Amino acid sequence: MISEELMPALQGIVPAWIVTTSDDNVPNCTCISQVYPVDENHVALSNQFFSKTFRNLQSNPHAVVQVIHPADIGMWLLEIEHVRTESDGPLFDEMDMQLAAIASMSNMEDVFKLQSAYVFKVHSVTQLSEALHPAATL
Amino acid sequence: MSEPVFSTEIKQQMSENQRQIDQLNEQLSRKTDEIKIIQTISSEILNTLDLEVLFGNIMALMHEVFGFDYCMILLNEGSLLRVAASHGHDDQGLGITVPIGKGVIGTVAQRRKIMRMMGLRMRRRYVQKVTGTDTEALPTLEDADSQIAIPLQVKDKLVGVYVVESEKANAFNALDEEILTIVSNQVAAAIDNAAAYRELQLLAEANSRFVPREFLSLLQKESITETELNDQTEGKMTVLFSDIRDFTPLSESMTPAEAFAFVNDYLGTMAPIIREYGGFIDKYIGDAIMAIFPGSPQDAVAAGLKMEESLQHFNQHTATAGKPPIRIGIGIHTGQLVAGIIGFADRLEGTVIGDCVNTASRLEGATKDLPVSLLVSETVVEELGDAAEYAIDSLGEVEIKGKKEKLKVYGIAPRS
Repeated sequence: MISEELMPALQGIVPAWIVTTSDDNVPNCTCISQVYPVDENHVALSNQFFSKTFRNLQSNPHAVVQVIHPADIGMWLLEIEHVRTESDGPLFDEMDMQLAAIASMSNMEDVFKLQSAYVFKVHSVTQLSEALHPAATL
Repeated sequence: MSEPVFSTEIKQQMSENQRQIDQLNEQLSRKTDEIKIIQTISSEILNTLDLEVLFGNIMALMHEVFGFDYCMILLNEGSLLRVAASHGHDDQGLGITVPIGKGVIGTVAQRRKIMRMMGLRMRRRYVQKVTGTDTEALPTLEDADSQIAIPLQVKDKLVGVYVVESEKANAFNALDEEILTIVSNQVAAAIDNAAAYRELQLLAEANSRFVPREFLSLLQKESITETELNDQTEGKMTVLFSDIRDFTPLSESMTPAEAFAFVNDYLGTMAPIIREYGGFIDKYIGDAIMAIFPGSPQDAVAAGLKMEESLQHFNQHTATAGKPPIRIGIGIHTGQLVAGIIGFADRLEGTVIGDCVNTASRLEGATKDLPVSLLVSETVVEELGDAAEYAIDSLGEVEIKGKKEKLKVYGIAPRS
């Protein structure tokens, strides 16, 4: 599902957007620094301090993220579902390390701490243009 | 003959099989390439013990073979990393340090894991905006936007960090990371070997200042590591003793640090003369020098006369600093000596032993009561090849402490 073509959009080069909903169906949209690729069917988000998104995911695990390809600014929509939370292991370590590398440049390694890695199953990947004009792709 | 008829299913199966074969071939070809890379690297590129040459080879390899334009090698110095080599950067950045745990490079060193970081500029700006702080400058391209940093490890030891960077936001992919992972172990081992070799050379050099090479070659040893207690060699050699006259009252007018500096100044003037004339210094005893000349006694005499001459210059020099002139005494004697390793177990010393050493020392002492500063024994005079070069002045016989017979002594001066 996650193709080679999409990989550059998952490197944190251009910030991404995520939309979640609360238990009373109020949508929340926020900017995130990176959607991490995990494997062909999974991505991950770092849980640092944007708590509303993560509170929403407790009641509704479904979300949509928009990632942007750095080469052509092509926008892609991923329908995702929160399936597990990791606070150790290789994925957590890798994400934590990247965060520490950047944060330590500003002596902020104690502030920017990875609490956990939220792992999502990817249900669909669509280019925004296709999503807007579904008929055109038929 | 009719064409074989394949069902759609079989056709699909065949095409799927072909796809799998192609995929396997591709994987095989990648593996073959990897093996080639590893062979080339170990056989040619990393096969040197010269650290500078090695750095150059690694940089060329990364640039020419893998196409990485900007590279750096930082070596681990304990709590920080120091840039030891770089390629492609305008400002070489050599010597710049990165604390362990700071930035991409420091974090890679701390966690001992490779890191591929894209969109560096955006990420840094993000932290700056959120925290309201400036990010610290680190040795990197001014506008580096992609970096791969890989720890260089030999077993559990962190040798350093290898960094590849680019001003492009999305310059590296998983394959680049793989290539670096493949070569990093070999690069680390090669750097570690070369660094260890350099350390060994420095150590050998430092050692040779304590145990002279000439002494080791007398014992027919290449290195100090080959020496053992009781190693010895016997032969006819010349011993030269020199000492500053009345240094004790002179040193009392100086602070200990001044006296130390004065002695080192003096020895710095005299010691090179010994080597210049084919001798080596067996030991310093305070301001006294005990030197051995394995060749002709004439070498020792020539060195002694040169020392006297150099003393004049030394005195002129110290007079400008308001110090009184010094005088020295020199005694030279030739005879059978044993050079060897003495001591016990964990504290050994290379030295020469023999009656000849005592006699040379006594001759030096005897200059205190005689009108000359360079005194030699009759044996030396007899062995001087071309005595016409020198004015030799018989000064009669002197008693040598611990000797029954008196010793004929001679003063020597250059024939003017």
